[in-house]
Amino acid sequence: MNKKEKIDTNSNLDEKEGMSRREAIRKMGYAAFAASTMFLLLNNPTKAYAQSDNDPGDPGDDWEW
Amino acid sequence: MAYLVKEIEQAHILWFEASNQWVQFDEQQWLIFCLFEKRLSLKDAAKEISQKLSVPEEQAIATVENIYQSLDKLFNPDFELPDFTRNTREASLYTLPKKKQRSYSYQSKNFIMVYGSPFLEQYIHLPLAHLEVDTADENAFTLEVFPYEDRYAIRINGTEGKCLSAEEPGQIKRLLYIELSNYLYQKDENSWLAFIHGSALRKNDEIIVLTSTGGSGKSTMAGFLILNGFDFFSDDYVPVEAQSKNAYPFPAALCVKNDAIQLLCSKGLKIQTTTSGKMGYARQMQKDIKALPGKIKNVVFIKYCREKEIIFKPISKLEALGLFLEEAWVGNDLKRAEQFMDWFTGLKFYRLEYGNSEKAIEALGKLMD
Repeated sequence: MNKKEKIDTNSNLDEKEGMSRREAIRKMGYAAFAASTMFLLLNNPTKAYAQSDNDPGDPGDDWEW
Repeated sequence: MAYLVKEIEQAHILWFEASNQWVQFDEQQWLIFCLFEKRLSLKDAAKEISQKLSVPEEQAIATVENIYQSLDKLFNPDFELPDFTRNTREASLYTLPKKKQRSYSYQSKNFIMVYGSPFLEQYIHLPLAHLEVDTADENAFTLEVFPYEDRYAIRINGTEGKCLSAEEPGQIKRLLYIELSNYLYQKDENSWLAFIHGSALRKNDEIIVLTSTGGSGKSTMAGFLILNGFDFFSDDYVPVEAQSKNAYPFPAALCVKNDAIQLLCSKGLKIQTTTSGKMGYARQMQKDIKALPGKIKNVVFIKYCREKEIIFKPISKLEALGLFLEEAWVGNDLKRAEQFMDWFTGLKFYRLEYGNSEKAIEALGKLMD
């Protein structure tokens, strides 16, 4: 791996770690609010779209499943 | 500081634009909210609450403080809301190392899907397989879906177009369905009032929506209803337009799983199963689908309970609101929140828990007659 690739990989890693940290804080922020409030909350605005788990399974790496 | 207030059955329902939060207030909370809006200090508000409700001032201070803090968070949230355009610059320019392209057509509208992995191809293509066509229209609307870093991304009409990303495949599929709905029905993302997680069927020109968390038997019951005089309308995803309040059919096939496949096949529904046999798609219904939008009349919160014969009863709009918001995304601006409440309060809601399918089919049939 040359120097440039190494730097790129590290910056990607930092970005990933930063993103997951931010994500954790974001989730904790809402959970903490939901736990502390006396209000009856009717939705979770940090959750996007509800859907069924219609995952047909992992076909592996083969395109012809 | 935009918010909406609506009274449903003596309860105050509020929606806060900054946090996209729907909340139900009791009388005391509503009273304190009014004081907050009048910008009364915590101390003065507590004094007023103490006098009005005849509670000790210390108790009133604790309550008012909690509610003031909560209101502050609703108006100035410290949590991030979903943003699928976040960090998509690199994904928008990404060159897919491997890809597979398929062409589809629905109601004379052609579109191309480009898949970046076998998993995504299987996951997205199978419910749409009945729409596949042999000839590619190179100028057709194109959606690329691919894994990127540890997320999934979709790109609309190439690297110059819109790019969205999500953590989970289910979320990316939902975003893709929304983009496809926009294309098929010539809408944009602000055109939609709500996206409901549910199965919808049409009878006598009216729509019934069966909604609940995944695995509660929505699609299985939809399969039974198709065999009993209902027309298939949409499965898993029901978009509702803001202006007309019409629901639009989405052309994905009805998806049924596990034991329901054998059960519905034995009753006469034609289902094509995946190689694992654990999932199947009732495709032939798509040929008969009326692509016309329709009005939703009834919303049924459905749950299969083997040990119960049947419980089927109307429920209040207040009870329904919380259940509905768990399974639907609602347009997050003031105008659409207002339109949503007007639409929602005109619907009828029911709870259905059943172990006896025949009785449940009969009950739902009567509801739509």
